[in-house]
Amino acid sequence: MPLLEVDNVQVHFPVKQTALGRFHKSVKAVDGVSLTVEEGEAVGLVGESGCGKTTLGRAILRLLDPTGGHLRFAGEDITRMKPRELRSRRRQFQMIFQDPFSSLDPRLTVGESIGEALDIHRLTPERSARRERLGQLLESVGLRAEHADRYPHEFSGGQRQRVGIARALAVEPRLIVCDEPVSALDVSVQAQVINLLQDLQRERRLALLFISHDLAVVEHLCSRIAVMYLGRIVEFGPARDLCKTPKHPYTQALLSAVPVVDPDSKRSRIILGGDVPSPIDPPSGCPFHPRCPVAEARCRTEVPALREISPGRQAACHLA
Amino acid sequence: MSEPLLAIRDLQLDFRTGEGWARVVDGVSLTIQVGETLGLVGESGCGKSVTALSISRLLPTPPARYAGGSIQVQGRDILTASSKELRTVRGGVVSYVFQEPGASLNPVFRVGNQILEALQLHQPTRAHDDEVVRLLKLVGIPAPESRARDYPHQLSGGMQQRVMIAMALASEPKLLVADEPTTALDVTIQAQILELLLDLKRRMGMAVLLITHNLGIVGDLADRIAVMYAGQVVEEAPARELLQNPRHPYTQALMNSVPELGHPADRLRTIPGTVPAPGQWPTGCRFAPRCPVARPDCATHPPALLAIQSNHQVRCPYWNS
Amino acid sequence: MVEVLDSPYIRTARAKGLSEGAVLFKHGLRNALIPVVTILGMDVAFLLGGVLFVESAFALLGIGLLAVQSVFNLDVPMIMGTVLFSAVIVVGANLIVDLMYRWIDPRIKSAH
Repeated sequence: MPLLEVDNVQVHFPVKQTALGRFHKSVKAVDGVSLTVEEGEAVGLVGESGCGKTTLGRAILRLLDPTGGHLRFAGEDITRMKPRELRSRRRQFQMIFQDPFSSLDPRLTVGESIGEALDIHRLTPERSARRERLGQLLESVGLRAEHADRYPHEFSGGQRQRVGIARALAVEPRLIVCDEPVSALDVSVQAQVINLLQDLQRERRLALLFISHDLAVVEHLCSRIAVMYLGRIVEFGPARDLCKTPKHPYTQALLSAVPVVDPDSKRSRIILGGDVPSPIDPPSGCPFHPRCPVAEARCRTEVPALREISPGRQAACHLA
Repeated sequence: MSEPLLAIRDLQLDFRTGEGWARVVDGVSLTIQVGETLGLVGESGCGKSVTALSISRLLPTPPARYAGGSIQVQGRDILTASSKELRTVRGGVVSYVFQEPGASLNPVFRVGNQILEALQLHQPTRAHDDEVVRLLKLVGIPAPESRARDYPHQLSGGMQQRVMIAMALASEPKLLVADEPTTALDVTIQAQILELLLDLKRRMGMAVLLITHNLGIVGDLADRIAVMYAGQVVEEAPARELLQNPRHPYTQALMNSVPELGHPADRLRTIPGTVPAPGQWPTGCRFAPRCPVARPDCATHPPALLAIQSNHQVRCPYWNS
Repeated sequence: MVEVLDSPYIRTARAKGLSEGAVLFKHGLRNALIPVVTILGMDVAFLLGGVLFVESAFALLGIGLLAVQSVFNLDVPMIMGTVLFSAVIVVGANLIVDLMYRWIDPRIKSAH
């Protein structure tokens, strides 16, 4: 049984259109997404702005409510669970955010921020045990126990991100949703944080849902990758395979757009025309067809379903 | 050899901090010839952006202070130029494209008007709507006539950056300084903009100074690459040479710490420690505390830039280890 | 205004070669006006409040004095009248401010 099951989840936001406040349209941020994450597995969720990956990440943690579909964690349906029941379940899934500068309360010391999690779930009622646990947590992310008494502004971006990781780890979750955790960091610091996440994942059999726009990082860290476009998954499969032989035209374009250092690498860049579309007015048929270099007549009218094209590989394309 | 378009010689720049002045750029020398593209690579805090802003003297002084060196654009000394001279250089010779196009365009003016303004300043005979439309077309904006009447917030990030490029080109500059032009953009849009810059560069014969922390994008556009660390240039070479044979331990470590698509490694090779902030630079070689091949005398003898080949310079005496 | 002058678009304006004057007045001012205009709207309400005291103190024949006198005389219709009048002025001023926003800042226009 997978640890996390996302079953045709939808997150639609109604948008006011008339002066009377009647809701005409909705922003279909997530429009029928299904995926699974096994215990101890790192799954990557890749896409560009507006694809819905952040919204999906938050919906999975019930930070937002899905407007359709089901979410199952360790077999239990948590889609409509009431806050009180959900609270005890929340220990098992945590989040790390993108911006290390705004995700920590500047008025709390680092120890207080992390300790809050311990207190909410009543994990260390004794002060001495709490102090010790804080020290352990800080050291497991490469900081020192003394850092617990410092304020966020005294740390660098990379260190703050480590604090965020320590906070997520404090409650010993089984799954951590990482929302672009390294995008705001310098290149050399990114590598450190990526290695840290990888180590923690392996040591503790932690499942990760790694949300990012950076395919190179995702290929490195994850065993399976889901590519999102305009609220839907357009391709899903094992990381190495997907990156080597992508089946969906969008994945192909995305891969060819990733900057590569080697000046000799012979690759023809697929340059997509147009802009990343807005989820308010999605195109008819296949959402990618206006920018697709190989679109056919069928693509304008029929929405391609995400189907299995080979064992373990799914793609939503008429031509795959 | 003809006179370079841009010649920065031994530039020294300080910034005011809480406790006095901290050196941010420490003896940087760079030259760009007419039509050449130089990539300036480094992480945040290395001084690349302030060096670039200095070319048109765009840094307010205070809190900045020029402590030494010179900047010459077409032979004119920028640091001592009058404001009148500066205004002809800004836009007319050197144009900028910044990192966040949404914030770099004035939100209360229409996009077409902002481009028109640049034309009025430097190319007054061509300052009319047709020219604005031509420029928008040149940078690949569809339906340019109606787009010109849009406000910046009505355009996507990629479009905004194209507008900025159009505005920068309006004045027919000899040098385009692009400071992290694609960092804030999505990857597929990044590819579009880089392709556009490459095309424009070829067509217009402009020189380009491309500043970035991403070694991947610099390879396609740059003729030469300079790598900066802690206020200094630590390596400089023709693009291909630097990317294939990096000699400075920092350049090598930087390249090794980035995951490469299609070349999966088990673990990323990281650089221990963090980049030292200005004012807290170690004595001797500034990279020594983090360097995998550091020797004892690295901490006491600051290395000079050595020429290991006619066009490849490295700031490390042990580059061959 | 100080905050506005730190903005990236001001840097762009300078980079284009605009004179400092143009940068300040053309590019900076309109953006700096937005919060100023808000305060002006609020000021109208405060001014009206002050009018009561000023006119009483200097025995100036105006709405303020009328309002004060009607309260002392328990002249209810007049009290209602003056309050209504003041309310109309305050609402009117804020309406003008809102309309000015739409003129000054195009981002607000398209939010509707």
